[in-house]
Amino acid sequence: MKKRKTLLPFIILMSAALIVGCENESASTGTVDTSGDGWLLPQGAIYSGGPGKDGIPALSDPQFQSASSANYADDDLVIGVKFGEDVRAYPHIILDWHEIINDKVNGRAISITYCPLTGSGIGWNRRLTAGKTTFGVSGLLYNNNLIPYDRATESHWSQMKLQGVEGQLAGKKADLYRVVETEWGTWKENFPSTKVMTTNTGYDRPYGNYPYGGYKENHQSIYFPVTHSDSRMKAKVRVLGLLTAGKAVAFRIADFPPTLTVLNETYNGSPYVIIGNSRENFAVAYKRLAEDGTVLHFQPEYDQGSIVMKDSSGTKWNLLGRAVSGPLAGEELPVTRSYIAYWFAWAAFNPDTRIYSF
Amino acid sequence: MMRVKKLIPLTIVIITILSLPGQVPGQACCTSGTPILGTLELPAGVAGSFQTALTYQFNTLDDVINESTPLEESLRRRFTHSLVLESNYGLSDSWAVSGLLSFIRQGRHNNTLTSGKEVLKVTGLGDAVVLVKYSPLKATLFSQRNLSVGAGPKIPLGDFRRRNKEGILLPYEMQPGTGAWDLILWSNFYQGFRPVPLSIYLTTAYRLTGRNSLGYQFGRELTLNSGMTYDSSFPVDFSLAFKYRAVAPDSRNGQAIANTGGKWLNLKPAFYMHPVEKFTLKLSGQLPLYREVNGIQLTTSYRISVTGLVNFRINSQE
Repeated sequence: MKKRKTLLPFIILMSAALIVGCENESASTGTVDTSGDGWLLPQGAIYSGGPGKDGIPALSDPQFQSASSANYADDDLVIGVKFGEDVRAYPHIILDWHEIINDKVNGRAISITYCPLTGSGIGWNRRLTAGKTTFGVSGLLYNNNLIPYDRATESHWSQMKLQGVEGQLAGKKADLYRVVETEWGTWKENFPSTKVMTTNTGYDRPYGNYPYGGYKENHQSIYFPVTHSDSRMKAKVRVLGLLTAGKAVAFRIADFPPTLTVLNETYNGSPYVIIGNSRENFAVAYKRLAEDGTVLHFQPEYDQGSIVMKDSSGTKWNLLGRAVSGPLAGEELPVTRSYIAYWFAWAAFNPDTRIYSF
Repeated sequence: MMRVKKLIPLTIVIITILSLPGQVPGQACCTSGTPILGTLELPAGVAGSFQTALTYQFNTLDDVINESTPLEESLRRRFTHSLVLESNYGLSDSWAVSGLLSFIRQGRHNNTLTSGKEVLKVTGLGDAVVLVKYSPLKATLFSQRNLSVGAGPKIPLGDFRRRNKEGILLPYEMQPGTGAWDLILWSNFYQGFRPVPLSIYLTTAYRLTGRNSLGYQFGRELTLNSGMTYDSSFPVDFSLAFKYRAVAPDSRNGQAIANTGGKWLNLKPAFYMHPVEKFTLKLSGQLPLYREVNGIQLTTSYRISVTGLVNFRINSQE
């Protein structure tokens, strides 16, 4: 009896220690606190990637260096933007670790969003109806794809769905900026005046080491379940996906000829131009409409100043869909809802995608 | 006796070989979970003996390691409080059965830019283990050597489908349970040196993991605890051990997940007190000596634990 009395305080002490813990917090047990107005995605298909909110730190105010002083490999992938004379490149080797870079380029507030698990890189206007904001990484994934959140309203967004999916801004379409995803060698050759982001980010990361092991080469490795699987292409094949009013269309980048190729296509009555080159590892799509509504027809044209095509009026256009010289000089082709992604992810978001046959 | 002696290295070698985790390059975020293997410490005992150990353990994961290099990082932190009850009953002088139940409370702190510190906490019953143990070599008056080997299942009692209030599944490593049946292989070797009050021991445990119904499989795990105990004439005894833990990467549908798995070598000092007869109180800590993780991981900074062990006989003639 005496022994039992001796043990009793010990058991109570240990049980209390476990229940109270070493923490003194009034936090949610078994829940994550988010003030949501309901998701526009099936919650059962949203997964927590592991690190949690801001566990993958988005970057703001990145630092840049000139192309000549940078030592990135020519075949390193970058996402490039150009506003006026300000040309910038954001390397994948940095985006792999941070996923979002909030920047201001020639007065434009832009977020470069990149999801390493779906290989999708998109440029967003971070001026929302709620005001200018920055985006952060929520730690949640849908179809393995990045779910950013905006810091103005804490609304969640689906990167590949291009819209708000939870919170005050649920249902709002993302305003896209024109970006080009290609190799560093190709980008700097087209835009020699480009600056490129440095790895001086304020975070201690082994930039250059891919953080997901053999993931991008292994077609069998998909971390979280997807809502739709499509075996017409291998999972990690990179495609340019184009959302049209009807069926989405996917262009396999490796299927473009190894020379500059310009496709004049019409989908559901809308005219598009798709420009690609498998050797230089890029593909972009614009609407082939002049500002006055004239439907343009393009043919490939390599020239200085990143010119890649000319139209029947003789106007020359660059990789970013801007008229550089000729009668329409200064015009810009309308941006499309298109981006590069791994096939498995594109197909999961767009199950009825038509695959373009070259 | 000769045959039994041969069994000692053989058993250790077999368990070690079986348990070498495959080195597949490996993501998620960390390698942790209920400290089941590290808690299996009770030897087989003798016929009719009953031992119950209740262990409280606090494990804090505060360090971010890239392979073996520490990184400057203060974005997140994890902790685990666990209560593990292990009971052992000697069926005969050679055979015993052990059972282990765990209860876990784990949390994750993220320093966010907008909402300050965001906390996720999960509490629940963890997985359980049943082991059948056999002692081919028993310590006697003439031999201070004991060997026990054991095997049994890890039973997936813990919930592995815990969701937040929005219906989103919590990360696999934050679930109280694994959802998978595992096979545990275990051995314990003890050598005393009386009249010198010193003994050495080696406890080996290997977890051959199964895949849960979500297709997730935690990495196979090996732990080796090797140390010495000094039975002083004072009220407090002391032991010092090295704990080696190797974990293969987790996988999903057979594909390795990056940033999971690795190797850890820790130093484990412990103090033992015997405040009353047949009751031992053990205080121990665990400090990292060497850590080599796959990729980048948030990993254990230190552990502390308190164990109360009761030892008595059922149907005793005494």
